[in-house]
Amino acid sequence: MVLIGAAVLAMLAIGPIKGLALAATMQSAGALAVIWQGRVQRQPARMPRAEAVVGDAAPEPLEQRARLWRGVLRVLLAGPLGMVAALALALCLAVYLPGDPRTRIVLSGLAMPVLWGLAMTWTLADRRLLRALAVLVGTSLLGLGIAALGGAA
Amino acid sequence: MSGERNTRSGKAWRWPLSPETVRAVLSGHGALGIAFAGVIYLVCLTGALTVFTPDLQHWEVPRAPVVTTLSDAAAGRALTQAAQAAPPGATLSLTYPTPAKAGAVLMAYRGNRADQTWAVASDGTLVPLDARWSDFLLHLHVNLHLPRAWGGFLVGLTGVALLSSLVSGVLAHPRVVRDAFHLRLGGSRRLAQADWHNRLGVWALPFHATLALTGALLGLSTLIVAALALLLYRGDRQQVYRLFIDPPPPADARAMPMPDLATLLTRAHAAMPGASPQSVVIERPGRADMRVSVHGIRPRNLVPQDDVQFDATGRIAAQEHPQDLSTGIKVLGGIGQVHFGWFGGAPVRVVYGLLGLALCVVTSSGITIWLARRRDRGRAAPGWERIWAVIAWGQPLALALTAALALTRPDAPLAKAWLGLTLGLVAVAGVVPLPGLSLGRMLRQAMGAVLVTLGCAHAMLGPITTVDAVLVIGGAAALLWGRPLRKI
Repeated sequence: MVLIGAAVLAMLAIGPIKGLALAATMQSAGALAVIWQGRVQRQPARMPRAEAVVGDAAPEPLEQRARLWRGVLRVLLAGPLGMVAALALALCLAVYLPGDPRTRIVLSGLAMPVLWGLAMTWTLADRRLLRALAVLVGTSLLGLGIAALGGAA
Repeated sequence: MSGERNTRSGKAWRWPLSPETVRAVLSGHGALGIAFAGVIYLVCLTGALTVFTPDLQHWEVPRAPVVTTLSDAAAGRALTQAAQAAPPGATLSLTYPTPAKAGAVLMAYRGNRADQTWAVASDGTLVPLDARWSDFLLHLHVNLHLPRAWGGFLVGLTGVALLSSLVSGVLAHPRVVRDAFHLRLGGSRRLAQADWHNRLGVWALPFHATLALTGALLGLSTLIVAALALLLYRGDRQQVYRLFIDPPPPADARAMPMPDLATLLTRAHAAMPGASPQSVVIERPGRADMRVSVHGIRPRNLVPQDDVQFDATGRIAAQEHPQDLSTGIKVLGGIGQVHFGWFGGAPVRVVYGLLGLALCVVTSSGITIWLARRRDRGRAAPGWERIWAVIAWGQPLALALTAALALTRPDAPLAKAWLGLTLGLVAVAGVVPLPGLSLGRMLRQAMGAVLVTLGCAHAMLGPITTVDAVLVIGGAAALLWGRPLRKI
């Protein structure tokens, strides 16, 4: 609530976008300063026990047997295929969103890295690679086709 | 873990992902980090320094004037001189001093590269501002000194990888709320690094996400425009650009004397009440198809939104004001400002720099956690530990050495020198049988020594600047880091 209030105040005081940008920056720095003030030193003697407490340990990454084809497919999914699928959806936004074409293009430009990043997160975590492949290829074909049907932005 | 319960407002709630999914996401987070850590670290490190470009330019060229105001007469005089000195066909761009950034800078450029850069004195005199290291640093950050399209794409891809890492990092952290307020120092290397990794990552998340997103968009813009053009405009990219940039006036190469620029600037200011001058751009100076664009910014806006354009005869050809601009144009204009933190003056630049370094720590600690986990499990990777040491501490050292080179050898090819240093350090990691920790310590101390020397030498040769003080303090901190403090 305090953080939101401070952001709103900054937006009112120096302008909406400038205030929001300033608040996001300064609040990050301020929060880290508060966390630094509250730092504690771990007790070395208790450490091994604390680490061993069931349920208190941090999660460990899933260990999977490495297979070359899975690695290559995962790179393709997270990389070029994810990029094309994200681009296809972003182009649909550019074509079909209401409003000024320049606004639509900028919003689709902002959406593209977000969508690609999400596709990357998903495909690197999902163990069903063929399902991910089908979804990304389907999204790409449908998205590009639908965007092409819509014509110029 | 879904078994992870967080108590808030008396109700227990579970993490929305199953333990197995959390582990799978963590596995993807690690894989992405390992694949991109080096380039993310380099882009973040250079980005944190690029925020201080105005300060670094004046550190490199201390005799360049730094004005806080610039009259129309002085601006007109500077532009007229630059039009005579610039190569034919160059575009002139004058940036006024603002409360957020002192100093007036005039550039003559063709395409994406600046041919000449000057600092403008209060009487309009031009002083060359040949800040080669600042330029080197900026291009290393923007396109890694690769061809613009490829380098930009790679940096954009890095931004996407960083965005994805942020998302997966939060999803793989079921105790994000419970741990948010705890910073525990000491303990095993892995635990200590994990606390830094998570706290710096989570609390500066809005900053990290904003930078990653705007950086990705800036880097991928060529690809996005190409895709739009290919699909919707039969491959004609100019049609997309024309939506955002006013088309140039019809070509007319006849020579034309420069109009009285001081008078034009005064008229432009009168046409945009409430706005202060931010920049002047002259395309095709000295030709009949010349265009003079004057941009103004209002106090509550992030970017200039007033634009008055004159033709070669001094007639107002077009003008735009905030109410005429679409949201898209306003957002597009603000992306660069938000990315580089050039909108709020020195305090914002300092915080941007510190948070940028925090992102370097997040990246570096991620790799350190991975390496420590391998070591804990009896699968130590000493080669990778050395390689990461030469990236984490070798890159700041390489950048400091290129800065020293730029100051001592003005003609030295900085990009090649940086590449040579980087490859040399990686080769050292391959042949020197030192543990990664020891190698990192040595490189950190070497970096500290170079920074202290650089700061002292620069201060002795010219006026002492804030950058000198930062170099000496930062270098001394790097030299003394890890040494126990003795009680006096």
